[in-house]
Amino acid sequence: MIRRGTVIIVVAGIAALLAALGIAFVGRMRQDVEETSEIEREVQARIMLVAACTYVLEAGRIGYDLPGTVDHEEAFGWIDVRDGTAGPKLVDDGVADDSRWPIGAARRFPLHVMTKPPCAVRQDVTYNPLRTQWSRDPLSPSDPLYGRPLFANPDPQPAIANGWPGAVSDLNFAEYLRGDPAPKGRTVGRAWFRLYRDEASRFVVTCGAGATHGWRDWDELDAAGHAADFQGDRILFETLRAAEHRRWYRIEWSPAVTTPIATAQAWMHAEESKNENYVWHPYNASRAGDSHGQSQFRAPMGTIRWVQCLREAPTHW
Amino acid sequence: MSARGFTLIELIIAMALGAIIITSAAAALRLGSHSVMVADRLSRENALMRAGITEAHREVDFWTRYDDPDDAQRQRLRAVSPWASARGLPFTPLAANASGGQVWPRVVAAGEDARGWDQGEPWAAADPKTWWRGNAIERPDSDYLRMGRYAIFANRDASVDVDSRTLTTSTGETVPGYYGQVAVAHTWLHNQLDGCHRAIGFFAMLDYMPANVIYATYEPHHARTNLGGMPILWTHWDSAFVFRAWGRPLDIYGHNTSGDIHGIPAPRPDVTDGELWERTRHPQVFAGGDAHANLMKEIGNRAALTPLRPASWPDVTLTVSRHISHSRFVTLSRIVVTSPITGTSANLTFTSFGTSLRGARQQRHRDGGWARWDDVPGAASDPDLDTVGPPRAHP
Repeated sequence: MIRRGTVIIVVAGIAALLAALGIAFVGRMRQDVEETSEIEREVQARIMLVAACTYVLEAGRIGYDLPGTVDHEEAFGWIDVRDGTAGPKLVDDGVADDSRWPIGAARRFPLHVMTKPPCAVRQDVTYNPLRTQWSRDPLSPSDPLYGRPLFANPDPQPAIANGWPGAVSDLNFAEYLRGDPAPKGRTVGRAWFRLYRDEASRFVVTCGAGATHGWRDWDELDAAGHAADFQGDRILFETLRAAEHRRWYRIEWSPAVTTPIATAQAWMHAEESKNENYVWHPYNASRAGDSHGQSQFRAPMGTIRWVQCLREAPTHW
Repeated sequence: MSARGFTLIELIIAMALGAIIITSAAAALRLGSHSVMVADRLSRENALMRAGITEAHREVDFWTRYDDPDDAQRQRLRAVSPWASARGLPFTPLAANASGGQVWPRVVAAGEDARGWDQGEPWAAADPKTWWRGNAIERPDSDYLRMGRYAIFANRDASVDVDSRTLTTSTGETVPGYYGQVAVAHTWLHNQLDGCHRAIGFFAMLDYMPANVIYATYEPHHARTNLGGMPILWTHWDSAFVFRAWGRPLDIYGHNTSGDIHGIPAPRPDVTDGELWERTRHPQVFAGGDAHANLMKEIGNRAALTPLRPASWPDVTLTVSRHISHSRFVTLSRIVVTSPITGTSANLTFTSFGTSLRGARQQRHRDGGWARWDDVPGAASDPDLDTVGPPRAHP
């Protein structure tokens, strides 16, 4: 009688071991997923550093177009390149004007992906493919258009239909300009950056990967009247904040643009002689060699002179 | 009570079935455990890869493989030298004592007369002292100074007795060498360039100077300058700063280093102190051979992440290198995970954006450890490697 249950006991034991292995495996996978999420947040926060630097570069110059004027007004840098006073400002009057972003002020930039950004263009790779017998729209080698590089279609084309290839009209132009700013669902609450203007051209960047929308703490968002964004739930906000990845950096903007390439090219091609001479290739001259083109004209909005990661949060950010 | 026993056939069948069931279960267990073991190994490799990514990002932000503020034994890039032309390495404190004084002494004065590194200087484009003045196509063999003597407008020295060799042109004209004593109006920028590369080297100068600066200075004429007084350092194709492989002057191209590459030397154990000096003072590009591969080998800061790992664990190495090439600062990380069981390796290579050299120097306390920075108006943060004299109070 004693031996009657041996097989079932042995099998049950083995099954229990298998179950334990399975549970351990699932647990390990879950841990992997959590650790991968942490890496994802780290990378997301670093992308926010790039976004913040890009914003600083652009906001020193553009975004100040006055409504109702013909001109598209621009500013001349966080430290105005014309008179050396604090900006960004439109008028060269020798008077500091940091009113567009006062020194000592912070702003939040919660980011998401728009459904369709303003002035969006289609993402087609090739608008004017060379047509051959292997093309999607095949062409016989005897056809006079076979293999011809023809500029038959505009390149690029707007994401909002404009009538092409029929009669083009501007009926949808306003929609093209506006796009669809509604956020794409899964991109909301994932990342943000925040800028504190520390000195005229220096900023504290806070990079965040998480869902707090860049609010420093509950008191700040409550005072700003945004408690409803978190259902008025402080615990919810604190939970999101605890799960968030935050990093602090200092950066300095510089008006210096990199590589005045046309000039550099002129000198580069002049070095054949070790003495001075005048060889001058115009900008973008295709005959001038390998480095001309818009892609070589780097950082026309200025540069970020240095970046310093802070080991702990400063008092103001 | 018909307690009958098994027949032999029943017993054999029962034993066979039991054996099959147990064997199957055991096989399932063995397969399951093997699968879990394989999954565990792969998971560990992935975990180590993730650890490598985390460590790479930490290194991108804090540069501790180049200079560890918490370990004085790992601060080889803070050395000073007895040579006036090359006083320090990329992490040498500017206030450190070198032969003849500080690595980069500071003189607090207004405008053009200021000297040394001012951490609060904004280098405003509207500030005339930041403008480079000179002959932008100066050459090492400026035979007759046919474009003029630009050294009288801007110079390292505020007062210069402008003199050079008297020459005769091929058409028999005499070009006098002596010009006379000149009080030079613009000296600040040329001292910044001269002082920076002497203090912490060429890569640091590329990092510290604005992106469009012209890398050239004037000083009194001597054997190591051209006739105009521009050091051949800045112009000659085989000088320290100029890319040797292409034979092109690099001096005046701003950050357009084209194919030329300057890198931070890696203070690995296999790199001697002498090599650290050599690699700080020369572009690390080789003529001939696989130049880029040689460069990366030379500046790659490679170290194992798990030196004390169990024998069955994968070997993980992280290599971080920092250089400037084609006008771009590059921080390149490479993680290699090698399985000791299968021998296979997985590589992950990526670039990152983070702390620059100047930022890294500002992270470090002048007297050891990490420097605390804060932005409370009026408060002074800790002195860092760039601080000469008392720390700057926050405006």
